Amino acid sequence: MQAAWWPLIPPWGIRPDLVMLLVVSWSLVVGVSGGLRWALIGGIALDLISIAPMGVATGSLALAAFLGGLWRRRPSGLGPRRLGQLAILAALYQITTLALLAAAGWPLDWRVSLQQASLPATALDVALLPVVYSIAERIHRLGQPAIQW
Amino acid sequence: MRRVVALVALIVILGGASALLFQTSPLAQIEAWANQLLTPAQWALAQVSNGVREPLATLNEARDLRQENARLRQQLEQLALVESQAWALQWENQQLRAELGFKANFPELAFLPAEVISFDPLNPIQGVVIDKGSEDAVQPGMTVVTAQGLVGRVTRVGSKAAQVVLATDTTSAVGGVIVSSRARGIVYGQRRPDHLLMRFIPSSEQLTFGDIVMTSGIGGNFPQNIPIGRVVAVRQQEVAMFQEADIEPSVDFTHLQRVLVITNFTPLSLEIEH
Repeated sequence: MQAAWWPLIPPWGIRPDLVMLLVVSWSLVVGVSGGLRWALIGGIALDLISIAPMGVATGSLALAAFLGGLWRRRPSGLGPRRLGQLAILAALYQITTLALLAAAGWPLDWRVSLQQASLPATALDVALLPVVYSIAERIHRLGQPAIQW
Repeated sequence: MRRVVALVALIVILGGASALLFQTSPLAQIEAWANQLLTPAQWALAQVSNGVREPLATLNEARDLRQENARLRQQLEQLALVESQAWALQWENQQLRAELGFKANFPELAFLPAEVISFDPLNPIQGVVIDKGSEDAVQPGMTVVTAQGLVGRVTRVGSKAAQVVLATDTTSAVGGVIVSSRARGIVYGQRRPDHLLMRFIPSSEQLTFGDIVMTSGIGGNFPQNIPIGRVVAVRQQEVAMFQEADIEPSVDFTHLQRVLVITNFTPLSLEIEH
């Protein structure tokens, strides 16, 4: 979906990282193992269709999911602290992606990539993360068995 | 004959007599009263009849109108479909005509048409996947263009698809030449679909707004004279040896859909063979 849903490259050249939004939100809701599982699935899917060296997307998603899982339900709901955590995870994902690209020998222009890709993409993702996180929380709550007294 | 004449005469006489009788007799008076009495009733009946007939007619009309409306809506939908198909065909026709013109400018090159099927999902990378691969003789390093100009270069090839790094990617560097002055430089991607940067242009060269930039062929990675874009801004420092220029790409990277792979141009390998 991330590769084909947006049929065009938008004029500003940035698209939301849908897979990251879902993985990070899910890991914040269900914890490390659930988050890592989806990071692996989503990351491999992204790596298969990306020009980037294999493992860049999986590695970035796994790190963000791991940290998100550690912050599971602390605090619950969408308070300022949770919003801060979402922003940190979105930025971490972008920085890790660049770092892994550079480590894999991708001829990266750090300045241009940070200015033109990572910072605007982080801003877009941070704007969308609360929405996706709220949806993930609701879905998780629906899947919980009802407590009977 | 005499009988017939007698019969006609009898009818005439009887008719005249009855007319005379009704005009003057009490019977005529009775008929007139009866008419006076019945007229309001007839009028009332006529009003009631009209009052019923009109709504019934309206109901019938409404039913007919509903049917006609449904039929017209269906026709409208069909027309909209036909119109959208016509637009698509017109667009495709324009693309094909432009491609034909582009191909005519490069008779020595072989072009393979391909469709863009997805974009790179990672934001730092500007790339696309096309629906042609090794089964169609696509190889890494091949140049990808549209009728408007340079798109990028094939990097990885699968059997039915290939990945293309766009000229706008930060890893892209293409030898360029300014057509009017023949000044050379290197065109770098800036990760933005509407902006390229041409660097290492000798300061002695005079650049003007709107100058056309094409591939120089230097470096051996791209064929010569493929349009890249046009100069929109120039930055020059007094003491620097080189100047740089902002280039607006000739290709609309925001609407990439149909591309051409140049299949008979082999990029030079600069690696030394042992």
